[in-house]
Amino acid sequence: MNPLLSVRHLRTSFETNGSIARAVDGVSFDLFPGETLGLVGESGCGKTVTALSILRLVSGPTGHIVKDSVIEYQGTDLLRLPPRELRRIRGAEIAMIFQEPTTSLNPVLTVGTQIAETLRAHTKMDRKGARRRAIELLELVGIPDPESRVDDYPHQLSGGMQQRVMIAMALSCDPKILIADEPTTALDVTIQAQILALLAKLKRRLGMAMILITHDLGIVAGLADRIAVMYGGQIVEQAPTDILFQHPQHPYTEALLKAVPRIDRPTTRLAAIPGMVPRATKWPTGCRFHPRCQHVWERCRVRMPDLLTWSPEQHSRCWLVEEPERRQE
Amino acid sequence: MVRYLAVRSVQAAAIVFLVATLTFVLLHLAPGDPVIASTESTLVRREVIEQQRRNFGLDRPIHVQYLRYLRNLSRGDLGYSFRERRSVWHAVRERIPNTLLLATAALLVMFGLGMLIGAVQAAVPRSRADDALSILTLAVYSMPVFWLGLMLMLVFGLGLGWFPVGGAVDQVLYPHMSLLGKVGDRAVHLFLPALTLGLVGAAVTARYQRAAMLDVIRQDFVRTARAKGLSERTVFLKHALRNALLPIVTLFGLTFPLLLSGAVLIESVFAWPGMGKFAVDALHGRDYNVVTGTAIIAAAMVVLGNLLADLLYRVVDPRTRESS
Amino acid sequence: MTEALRRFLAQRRARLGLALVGVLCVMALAAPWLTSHDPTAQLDLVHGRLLPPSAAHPFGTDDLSRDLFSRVLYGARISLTIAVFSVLVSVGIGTAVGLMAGLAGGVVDTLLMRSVDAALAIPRVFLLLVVLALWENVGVAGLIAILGLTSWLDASRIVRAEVLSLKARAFMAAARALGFGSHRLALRHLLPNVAAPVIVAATLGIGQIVLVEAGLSYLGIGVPPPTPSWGSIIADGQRQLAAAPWMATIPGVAIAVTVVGFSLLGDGLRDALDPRTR
Repeated sequence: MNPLLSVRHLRTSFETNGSIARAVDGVSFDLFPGETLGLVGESGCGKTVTALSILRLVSGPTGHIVKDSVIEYQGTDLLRLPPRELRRIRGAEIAMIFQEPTTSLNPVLTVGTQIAETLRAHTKMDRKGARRRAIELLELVGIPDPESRVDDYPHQLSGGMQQRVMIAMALSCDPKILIADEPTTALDVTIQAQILALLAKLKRRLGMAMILITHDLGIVAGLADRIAVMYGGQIVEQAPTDILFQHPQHPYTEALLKAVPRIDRPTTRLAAIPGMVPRATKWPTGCRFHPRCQHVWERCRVRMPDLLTWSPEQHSRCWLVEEPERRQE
Repeated sequence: MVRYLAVRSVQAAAIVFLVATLTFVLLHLAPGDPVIASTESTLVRREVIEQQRRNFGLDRPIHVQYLRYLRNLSRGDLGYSFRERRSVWHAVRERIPNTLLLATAALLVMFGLGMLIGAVQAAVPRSRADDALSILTLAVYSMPVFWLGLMLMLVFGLGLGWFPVGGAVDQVLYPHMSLLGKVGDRAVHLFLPALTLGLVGAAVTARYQRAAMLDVIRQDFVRTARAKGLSERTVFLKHALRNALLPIVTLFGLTFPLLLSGAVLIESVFAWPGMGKFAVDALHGRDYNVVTGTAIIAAAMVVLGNLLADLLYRVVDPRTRESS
Repeated sequence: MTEALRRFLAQRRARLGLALVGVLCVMALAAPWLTSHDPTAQLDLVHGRLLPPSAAHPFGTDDLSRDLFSRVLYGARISLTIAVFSVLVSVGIGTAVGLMAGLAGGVVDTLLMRSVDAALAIPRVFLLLVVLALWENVGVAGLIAILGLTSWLDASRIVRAEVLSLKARAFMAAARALGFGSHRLALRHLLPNVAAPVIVAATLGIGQIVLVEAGLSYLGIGVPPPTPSWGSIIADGQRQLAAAPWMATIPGVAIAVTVVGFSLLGDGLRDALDPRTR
């Protein structure tokens, strides 16, 4: 099967006060039709920038995607697409929902208008048709009384309802890929579960592929088919979900897993990962995780490992793949 | 909505009442006697002055005068103009349309040009064009408005002869013009004064608009709009501009006092027959009731303008409307 | 303080503002040494009227054959003096009223602030027309008093807002808990904190008063003739606009430069004194 989306050595940098932050530094992954890929890591590891780069939303005078990066969607490189063509992809083929529904919706336009304008930008629908479709979409995402909610302004809805509106908007044109960037982080715990259940249900029903970005491994466990763990602007481990949870290879993944509270084992306290997330303006030399790694040895400090193959399905950016005997229990 | 309007109207009335009281206090704090002052140049006999004072109730105790003043005011009676020999209201009323015409045209220039410049600056922030426009707006904003008027008059009126240098219409030819000719004549006379008054406001607006746009462009919902596949034009005009309108409407409310103050000067520069020039002429002619009357009318205009801005704000920002 | 000074000098625009204001002040102070002409002396009514700029008269002469360079220089003295002293008056009153309203709260606050609202509703020039209609020929001192007394409204609002926000903070509660009376509170704890926004408002206010005073003098109700003032020179110049356009032009440039200078200075001070606003 050919991948739907194929990202190759993506590099995105920001220039601030004369120093360059290499927020995403050589990320490659594939996304297959109907698949859910979890993109996991602490904040500051580059996962949001990766997502934004796919749709070329890294904007402004400061941020730019480095020349030799490739983001191929169904055979066309999105990074070399003229703006007009790119707009046909955005929202229609690849849609996105964001972390903060409250600030991601325009406060001065009704939710109906905001959904309808997406439809009108990508289809030949007239005003009335778009409005009808907007109501259907609101119903689809489980908003009660969609006929009247369609004329509400964002501030009249709760955070959970706003995120449902964002989802409705993203799904309006039947995208092939949905990128969900921390879709539940800003919401209450009970609402989080509802939104995740909704995403799972819609994904099954509509059969789209999804990139789910989160800092919380607990969230991707039930949703993702495959997980890519990011650290320091790079993917450090990639594997199918169950394998990753059972046999993590990268020490960072291990540490993340230890930080997830679980009911099947008596935890006395959550194991926080010691040390700090490094700054994108000054990545450590060698393996970027080495200052925080418990297995570290000389090689790690000097040379950065590639994403090494542990098994055909599992890859880890760690010298332990080549020297497993060094692993300390 | 009705409740809101009612509350705001009462507030507006209260402010006008306070303004009137303030004017009354000033009037009576001042040395001298308005009747004597306004008649001293015409060598009037003492008995006549006394008669005048009685006619206007100036011989009564001050609280009686105050109540009477308020009662008259509530009926729209602003007193008697000694120079015009008729009521102040009647004399001012003829000039109000001219001032409103000037102010409205200036508002159009102010917001049209100002928002355009600000938006252009925000579209290319920190570029050379942005810097140049920033310097230009600061310079215009720092110029005395009457001097800017004189400079425009010097270049476009005296120098190039494109526009007349004063008045609202051509004194000689206007009565003989066709309807279209009359409209055209008014337009060419209006152009320079309105442009002058509008330019200074436009400089202020541009600075507001630039800051507001730069603030909005960084917001998440602009990114959402781009992610939806909308064109840059739609993102800029529909999503960003619409939100940047909020601070601009606030500015709209703050503008009226400045605009009317500027009108006083501009009307004097261009001999524009509005209430500002009328007030200045009255001051030179010691026609006090006209000066205080126009001030009260100007204040009422400001209050009304603020009310209008408030309503407008509720139109552009749904968050301030009551939710059903 | 040195930290604020460093932040101030780090801004190019602030340095430009300081330079402009500095040069203006020096020129105003040194006027007698920069020109040998008396600004009110009519030099030669027969041959010396409306002369264009030349070596002898850098800015030319006016319709009464007075040297315009000296009139503009001495005009700077008058305009800056009026502006600075009016601002001192207005900032004093504004600070007092703002402190009173903010500290007292309740009815006092409501009454004071509603009155300020009302006064702000009268366009400033109209308010000045009313006052100047009633008090005639006030002279420079009177003009300072009138401009000061009609310009404190904004300052009072700024101070009140600052007081209210400071009141909400912990150190005020601590001071009150120690049993300080309200006067002591105001002076010891609030004034230093209120100083920064007031200094900024005052600096920007100087430029605004220069504009207002020029407007009044232009209308013939400001600085009484023959004392030179930028506004009245422009008014004289308007009558000679065709014959001697420089007469009206030069003082206007002087005003604009002054206002730009104080604007840049004020903005620079704000950024230096209050890093929050950046």
